[in-house]
Amino acid sequence: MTGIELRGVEKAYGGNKPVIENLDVQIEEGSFTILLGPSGCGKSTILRMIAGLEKETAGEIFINGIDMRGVSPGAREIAMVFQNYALYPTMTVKENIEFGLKNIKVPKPEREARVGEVIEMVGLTEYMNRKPQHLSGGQRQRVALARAIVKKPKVFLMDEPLSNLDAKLRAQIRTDLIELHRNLGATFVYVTHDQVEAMSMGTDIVLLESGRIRQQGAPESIYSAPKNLFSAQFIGSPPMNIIKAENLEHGGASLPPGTVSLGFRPEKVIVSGEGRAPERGQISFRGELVAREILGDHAIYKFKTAFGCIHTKTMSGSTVEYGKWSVRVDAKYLYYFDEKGDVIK
Amino acid sequence: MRSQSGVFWRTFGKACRLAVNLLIFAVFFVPFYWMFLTAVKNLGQTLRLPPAFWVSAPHWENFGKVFDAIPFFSMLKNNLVMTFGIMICQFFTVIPAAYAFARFKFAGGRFLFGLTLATMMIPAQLVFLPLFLMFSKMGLVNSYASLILPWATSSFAIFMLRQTFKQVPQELIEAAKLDNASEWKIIFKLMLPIAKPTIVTLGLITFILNWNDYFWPFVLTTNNAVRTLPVGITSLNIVDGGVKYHILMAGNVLLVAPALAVFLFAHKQIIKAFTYMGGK
Ligand SMILES: Nc1ncnc2c1ncn2[C@@H]1O[C@H](COP(=O)(O)OP(=O)(O)OP(=O)(O)O)[C@@H](O)[C@H]1O
Ligand SMILES: [Mg+2]
Repeated sequence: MTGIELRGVEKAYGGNKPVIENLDVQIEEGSFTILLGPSGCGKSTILRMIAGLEKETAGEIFINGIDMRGVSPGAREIAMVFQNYALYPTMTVKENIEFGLKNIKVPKPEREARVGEVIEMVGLTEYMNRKPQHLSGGQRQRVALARAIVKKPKVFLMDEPLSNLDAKLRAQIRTDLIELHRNLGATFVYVTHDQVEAMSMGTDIVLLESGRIRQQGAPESIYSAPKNLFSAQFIGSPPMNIIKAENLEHGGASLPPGTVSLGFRPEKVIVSGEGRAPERGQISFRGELVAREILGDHAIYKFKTAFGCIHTKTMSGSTVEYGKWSVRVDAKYLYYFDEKGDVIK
Repeated sequence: MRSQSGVFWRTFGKACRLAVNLLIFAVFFVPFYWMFLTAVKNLGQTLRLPPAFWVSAPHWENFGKVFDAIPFFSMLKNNLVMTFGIMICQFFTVIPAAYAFARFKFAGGRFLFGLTLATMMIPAQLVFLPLFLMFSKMGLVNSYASLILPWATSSFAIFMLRQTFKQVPQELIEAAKLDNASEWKIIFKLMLPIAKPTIVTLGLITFILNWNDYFWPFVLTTNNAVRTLPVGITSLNIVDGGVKYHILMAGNVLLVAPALAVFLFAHKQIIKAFTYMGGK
């Protein structure tokens, strides 16, 4: 069943040209859906329209089958976690968390119980009576989460909630969020421009570019079957290697008709001694290793070739020395793109 | 060598800071001291040259003479009624105006705000005559209304408070909306507590400004029944001929004492008002 549905939604700010046009999105109930895309593509705008903080200029939004037109943000049974936490500075941690319950007049005993339970869940019991400015970034983040959880919403909306945290804390809260999602069974809609966050947490990714959906699907399918160049290059780190087809054809390779460029993932590249002839069904490039990053369990190399730079990623194994090498990739790992950038099957 | 010169510069720096602090202290403190000192001198001592910086036998009776010369307590009452009347009126006019200017988009909003700011630039000397005529036509001269109504709002306070409200991040208000808070709840539970240091500071400025105001009460009143302390104190100047600085200063001590007390109690809040946004 669909949790959230956008039908033909359009949004224009002021008299400007619309940033989102005729957008259809379906978000499964209980899914952890990521709105992923580069800065300025309209992710926050979409989230804010779902929350009712921004009014769509055309189209309809449904939450659990109910048309949200004219429904105020407070009445949508949603909770939102903001990038800068948006904690009420004059209230204590406890007051911050119970504010929403007080406003809908939850009776005191029930309120106390719910607030206590949630504070304990996020591990802030001893900070209950502190003001937000006396908490660390991670603690503030947890207050923001607690404030959302306590309302028992059907939908959690999060707008880059981890971007103000350091890398370690980010990784930790990422797993916390996955756990939380599994425990609550609510629908999560999570906005980010970081594909690592998207891949690690999402059950469903909506990849956006300037207000349009470029691909939607499970992380694995977006990774293994990108529909277009944009998707291929946005997902994966380092991104997919892209090579112009015309250069290759001079080298005598035969490609599907209409191919303008082709790509392969850095993980699929094999590095071997220079001059070694390619085996059947492989293409090979001669190149020079110009940079390498050894990252413990894996390493990333950058080769300069006649066809442009090629990144490769190898799991463990021996370190490749600087010098001239031959990099090869199996044809079955190649993706072909036409002049519109769409993948050729 | 290096560490020695380091010690020298550090000591020098400290000495400089101390000197500057002392200077600032002197600039603020000496006038108060001088006022208090003069208030307990006798006439001869006030006129002596060079002046004495200390009196061994203070003349406390000067304060008594103030009470004899003017209806001190009724004027004090008038002062209180005027000052608090103005503060209460401003509370009810400034906060809604500032909130509306900060948060709502409405037709003519920008123009009205510009107009509000423009009134800050009109000198009092320009409006006192028309204002006086207006009040006298309405028969309000010599009443509390004439003391309070001209200051029932303050464009300066509206401006300051609007800025404070504007600084509250939009996200905060949106979070409150998602928390089912009504506009009133947002005002009373969120915006006003955040703006509290500013409001307290503005209240204090209003208090001190109006408590010590001389010009307007002097223009708009003609009899002692509604005249305020600053007007009364000034009249001490000419008590049975000759300038009596000691009595005048005794009156001034009595006048500024409440303002000083209020300031001492509230100075923490004032400091907070100017540091709140930095320390979020
Ligand atoms: N209040 C506004 N008024 C006018 N234009 C806006 C407003 N908010 C957003 N926009 C425009 O709409 C577009 C999408 O903005 P949005 O904030 O949704 O992007 P985003 O994908 O969330 O980007 P980021 O990752 O940087 O947060 C941008 O081009 C932006 O300039
Ligand atoms: Mg955004």
